Amino acid sequence: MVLMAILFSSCEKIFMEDQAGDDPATVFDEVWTFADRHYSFFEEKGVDWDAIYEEYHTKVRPDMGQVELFDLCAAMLYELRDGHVNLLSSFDRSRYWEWFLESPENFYYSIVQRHYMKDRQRYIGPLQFVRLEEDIYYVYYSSFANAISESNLNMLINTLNSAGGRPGLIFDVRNNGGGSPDNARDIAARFTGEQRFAGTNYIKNGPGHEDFIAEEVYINPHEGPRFDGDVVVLTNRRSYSATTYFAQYMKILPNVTLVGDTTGGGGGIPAFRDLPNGWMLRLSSSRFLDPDGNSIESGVKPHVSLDLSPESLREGRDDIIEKAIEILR
Amino acid sequence: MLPEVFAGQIFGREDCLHSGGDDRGHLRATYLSDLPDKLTFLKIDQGFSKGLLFDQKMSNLYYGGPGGVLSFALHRRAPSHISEWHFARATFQYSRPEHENSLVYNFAGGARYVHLRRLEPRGPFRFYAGGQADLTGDFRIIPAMGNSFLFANALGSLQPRVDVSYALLLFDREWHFDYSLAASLIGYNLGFPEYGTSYRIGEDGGSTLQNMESFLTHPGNTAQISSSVFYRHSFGNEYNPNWFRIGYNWEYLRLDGNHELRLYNVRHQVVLELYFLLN
Repeated sequence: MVLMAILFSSCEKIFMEDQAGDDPATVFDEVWTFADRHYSFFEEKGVDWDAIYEEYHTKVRPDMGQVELFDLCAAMLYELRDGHVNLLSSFDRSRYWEWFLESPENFYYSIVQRHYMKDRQRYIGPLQFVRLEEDIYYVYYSSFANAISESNLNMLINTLNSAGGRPGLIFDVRNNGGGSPDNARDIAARFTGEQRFAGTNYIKNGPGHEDFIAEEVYINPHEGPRFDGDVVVLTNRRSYSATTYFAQYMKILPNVTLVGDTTGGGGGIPAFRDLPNGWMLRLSSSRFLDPDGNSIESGVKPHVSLDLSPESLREGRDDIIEKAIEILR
Repeated sequence: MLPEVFAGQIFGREDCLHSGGDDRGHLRATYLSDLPDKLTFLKIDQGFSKGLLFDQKMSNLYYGGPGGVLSFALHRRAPSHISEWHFARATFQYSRPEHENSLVYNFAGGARYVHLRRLEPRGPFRFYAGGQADLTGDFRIIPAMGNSFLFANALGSLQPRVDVSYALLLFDREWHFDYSLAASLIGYNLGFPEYGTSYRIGEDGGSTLQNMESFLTHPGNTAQISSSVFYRHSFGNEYNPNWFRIGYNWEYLRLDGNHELRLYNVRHQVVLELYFLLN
């Protein structure tokens, strides 16, 4: 038995693939190849990935250190201009943040807290909920990664529906960096009475740059409490990933108005890869087109584009909330 | 691996095995298959494994680690053949030492039907030949891979199989050994996810796993080999011929998915098998 175990252990590699090495050239090629086969926005962004390989692979040296190799791979991945592209190691995380760094901030939580919520808000799960004035209510949701339950949403909707008059809701997702699309879908389903076509999701299903399968995405009305009053959704450039999906889901509803800045985008669901030297690579592997065929990768445009003015900031006013109040009055 | 030779005297009879008049002429053993009745056993397997996994949908890397196997079988013996219905589950935890986040949780379960015809005996050897039909589900979960966290396969295969049993008298007692070899002739693999990402935005706008339709439309081929050697020992009596086997089992699996993305899985297992007579 022992002999047989030794025999099979030593011979089994004959039947198996060689493992990728962890030398700089192999790691670099793994990074490039995984992106080549799984990244979903080459055509949309006009990225010539072969040309980028030619530019960067000549800089790989056998004796280069981990940090130097990391920086080289990170620089190559930066060419994709995608916030969902990250190279993860124990000593750094590569990133692309221009999608919000080059845009106005358009949200200051302290202003919202000091001048609008004023410590009067109710915490309904991850939602901060406050009545701003008669018939106008405000909700702040800081992250779609914070799970929202059915009872949280029932509480929110029942409060609005029992308020009397014709209440309007401001739903603020500025600086919400994303999380679970389930939460985006569950919230949007509370504001529609009929099924709505939200767009088409294209999922990578092969190594070619345009190998996708398409699937239409609908927002179906929730069977429990729903709110059919007017809703204003507030967005800025840091409304990213699942928040961009949420903005798109809400934008197609007739009772919803988007106000603020274009969302940050992040319209591709990421795929992951374990690299030979222990790093991990994440990149977008799907894309989403709205009903008019526009990609949401670079963001969802609001119905009303508005930035916070320096004058208002000095006075502690949030122009975007003020605009929402004006719309709802 | 199915045993052939049974310890002498359990059933009150002996068959002498003479092997050409050499010094093994004193070997003796009783063969279950010589009995006129059909016997049904409950077979319980448990064991420890060391596995090696390579799945190009996950990476171009090998993940290794320990695992456990537990299975139950209905094992039937008749004078002319052996058959077995086998249900198994296995759990593995693979990792890569250089990356602490690369834990892979592997769960497998399946059913196997074995049918072996008895061939002409030669000296102390007994031979069986036949085949087995195998159906296995395999799930691999890698928490660190976020939206690519789940990989799965459903495998079906037909495998020719030969078993050999050998009885050796040494130190004035019988030692029984069984060897088994099976290799796939026809295999079929259904792989998940379709390409690289197991999660996506679903039809209702929420996150969902890729659907079964794409799972079913992307089959591939499989190659499987299993080889085992066991030492067998009876611990029953005249009325209750139970026995156990302890041995080593090697399993090799290769799956060819779409886009030439291959998977290899090798398992080295030390297994204890218990057989309890039911009728």
